[in-house]
Amino acid sequence: MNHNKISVSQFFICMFLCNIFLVFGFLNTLGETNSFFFNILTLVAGVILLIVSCIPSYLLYKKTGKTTTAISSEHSVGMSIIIKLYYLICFVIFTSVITSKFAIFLKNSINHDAMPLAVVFAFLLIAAFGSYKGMQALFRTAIIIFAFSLLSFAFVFFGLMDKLDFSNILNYSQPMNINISNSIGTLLLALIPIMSYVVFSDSLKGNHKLGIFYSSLSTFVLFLAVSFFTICVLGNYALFAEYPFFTLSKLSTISMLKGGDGFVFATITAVTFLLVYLFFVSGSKALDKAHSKTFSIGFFIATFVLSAVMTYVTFVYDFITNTLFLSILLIIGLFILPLFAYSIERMRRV
Amino acid sequence: MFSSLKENINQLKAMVNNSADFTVREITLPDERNTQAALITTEGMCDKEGIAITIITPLINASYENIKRKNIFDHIKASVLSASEVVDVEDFSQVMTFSMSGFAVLAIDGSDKMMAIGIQGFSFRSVSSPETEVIQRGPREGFVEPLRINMTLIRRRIKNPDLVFENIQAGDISKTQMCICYLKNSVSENILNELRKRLKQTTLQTVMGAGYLVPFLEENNKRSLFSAIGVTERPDTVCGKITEGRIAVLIDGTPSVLVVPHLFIEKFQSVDDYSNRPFYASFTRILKYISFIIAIYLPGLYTAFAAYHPEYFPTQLLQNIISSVSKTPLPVGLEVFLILFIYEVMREAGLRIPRPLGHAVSIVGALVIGEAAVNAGIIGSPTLMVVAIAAICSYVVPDLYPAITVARLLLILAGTVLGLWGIVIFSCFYLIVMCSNTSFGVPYMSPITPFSKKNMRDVFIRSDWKKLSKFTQKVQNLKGSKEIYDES
Repeated sequence: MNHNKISVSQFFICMFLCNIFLVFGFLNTLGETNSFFFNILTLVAGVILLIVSCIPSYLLYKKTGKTTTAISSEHSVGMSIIIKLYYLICFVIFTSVITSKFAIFLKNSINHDAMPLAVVFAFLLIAAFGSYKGMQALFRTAIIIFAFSLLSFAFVFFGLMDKLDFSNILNYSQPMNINISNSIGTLLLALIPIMSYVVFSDSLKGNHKLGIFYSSLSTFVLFLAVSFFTICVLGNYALFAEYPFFTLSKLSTISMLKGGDGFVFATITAVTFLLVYLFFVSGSKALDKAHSKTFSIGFFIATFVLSAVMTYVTFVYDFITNTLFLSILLIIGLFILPLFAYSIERMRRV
Repeated sequence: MFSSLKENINQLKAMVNNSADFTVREITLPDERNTQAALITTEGMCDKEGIAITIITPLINASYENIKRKNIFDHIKASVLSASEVVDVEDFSQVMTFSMSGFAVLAIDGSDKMMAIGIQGFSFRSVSSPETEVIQRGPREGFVEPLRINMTLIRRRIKNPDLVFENIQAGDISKTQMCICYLKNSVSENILNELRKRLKQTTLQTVMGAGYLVPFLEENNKRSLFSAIGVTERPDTVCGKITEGRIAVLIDGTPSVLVVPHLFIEKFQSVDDYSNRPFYASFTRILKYISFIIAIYLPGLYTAFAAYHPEYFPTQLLQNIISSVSKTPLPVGLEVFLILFIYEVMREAGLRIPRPLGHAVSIVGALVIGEAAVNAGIIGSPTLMVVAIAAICSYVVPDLYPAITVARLLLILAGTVLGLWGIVIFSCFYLIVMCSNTSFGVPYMSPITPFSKKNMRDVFIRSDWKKLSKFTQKVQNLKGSKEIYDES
């Protein structure tokens, strides 16, 4: 077995976990959509989008056996530097967005005394240590966190069983305002972990297609389950809560299973950490700098500086977390660059 | 070596600096030339009666008629001595090693080699049940200090020619005899070679116990609290591990045997699990895992909840905790730390002091530290209760006690400073350390991660013997293994 190869199931467990954060973190945008059924349609579209987003890199790897960065390295040094740098900048930005959003969530919902920068610092430091340990450690860690997250969901959902009110589904209706843009934003953010797939293509062994399918399906099921419980238990109240999923987990504390929100919070922390860790490893993979202490430190410093700037300069925070900006980054990384790499590889072969 | 006996003896005496325990018994053989011989022994290491019966009496009473001077050495070896183990020795360092290992070395004038005769007779502890691994059912035999007896204990259980014992020496000064033991058709050649290499690379001057060698056998394990080298005192455990492709390292002078590769899940397996019915064995196995988690996390979580997230406590318990915390002068984190510290001090004192005084320590601990401190309002009873539960749980898996103690303190620190978030982030950090760890190329957390459904039959639940005996999973074939060898 090659040290650098990982199983598809391991990778997609990791991807699924990363999407949990996105499912939770942006669920509030779902509340502003037209109806429950509209949300379902959006989710279905999201699953399709998740699968479609993998296609360019998947085809590229299947036809050429190489990744975008590998092809660019073979073509010219200048292009290789630009493409690698682009992916690296993407991962630095995504990491900063995720850690900053988590720090804000922690401060607003859990611990009002928490210092966001200290939280970001600890997250990044441990993720840097993890990236130095390599991607095998990441995927092995993901399996344990996955088991823990399943336990947490079972705990919370079971605790809410007696509070389900199905009539909330029919009464759940709001005037359409910014629903479409929010839904698209949510789904595009769910594509962020898929970005890692682009650089990991050549590290996966086994059935890629099934991996993509199961990862998307499980994310969809989780999204559906959380939406269902949120709407059935909280009803229209979900629209007023800043983090409806967390409000939902708080409810389980008054049921027979007290402490459900503790589990949920622990899961969110763990999967957010995993997401940050994945970006660190993806960054090192994009630059072919796996197990490099210098890279880990460099990535850590760059991300921390950007997070610090985002914390103190509102303009930068607004710009970087802007859905349109992130969407452009993703579209270039997921579609344009792999297609470009594919076309130059094809031209070279002709 | 010289052919002159006198020169050989002088050389040996010079080598041991005329040490008092170095004894030379000179003998005159009843041949035509009255050839001189000498029996070299180390005081207290040989069986004196055995020397008289199997060496000296036959040497004096034997017939040496028509034996040429140059053939006398072979004649004695082949026809005179009645000892079962006789080995030719051709240099002085070997003479030293054998004589100091309890052999009697016979030197004959005119011969440039000597013979080491196995007549060990030093006193040692008899085979008894190991105190560190107590079981309810199963064999009562445990390893003892002499290497040869430990080898016998294994051989008696595996009567198979594939069982190999390989001698190795470690310690530049102590020259400790060690023996690696494995089943030829089960072991991985890569792991075996790696073990030989690591044992040869030890830079120890002396090897006084199994623990000395552990750091030399571990790989990239500096930050891990959990050892990736197994230690046991039970021959049945070693035999079970050997059949799964593992290798045992027996060290002369210690009853602790090292077993490699060693995985995290093995800490929770015991001989009793395989003697009991599967449902009960599975129950105790799950109990051990839960106890391990409680022992590590309970004090840290209690501290984090009390300091940052009191809403996580059930309402009535919260009232009690608030009333208790408000009456004590110390912050909760410090309170937990203090009780744990006192508990560790008492435990350490209880281990070291003579037994009759142990009761006094218990009384002081239970009455003064416990009840009196609560009554005086120095510590709260919920805190005391939490620490007591964690302490009891940590004894359910004795192998993990050192790791649990340190991890628990670190989690209390994380909970005190950062709350629940700190505990989660510390856990993530530690998961990375554990998941990146390997033992001779086998992932330390296998088969939990990398996950292998087939091998989960003896992890959380112990399947019945009909299922377990269908195939024996070799440790080197676990998912994710062999990576370090493939890279090289």
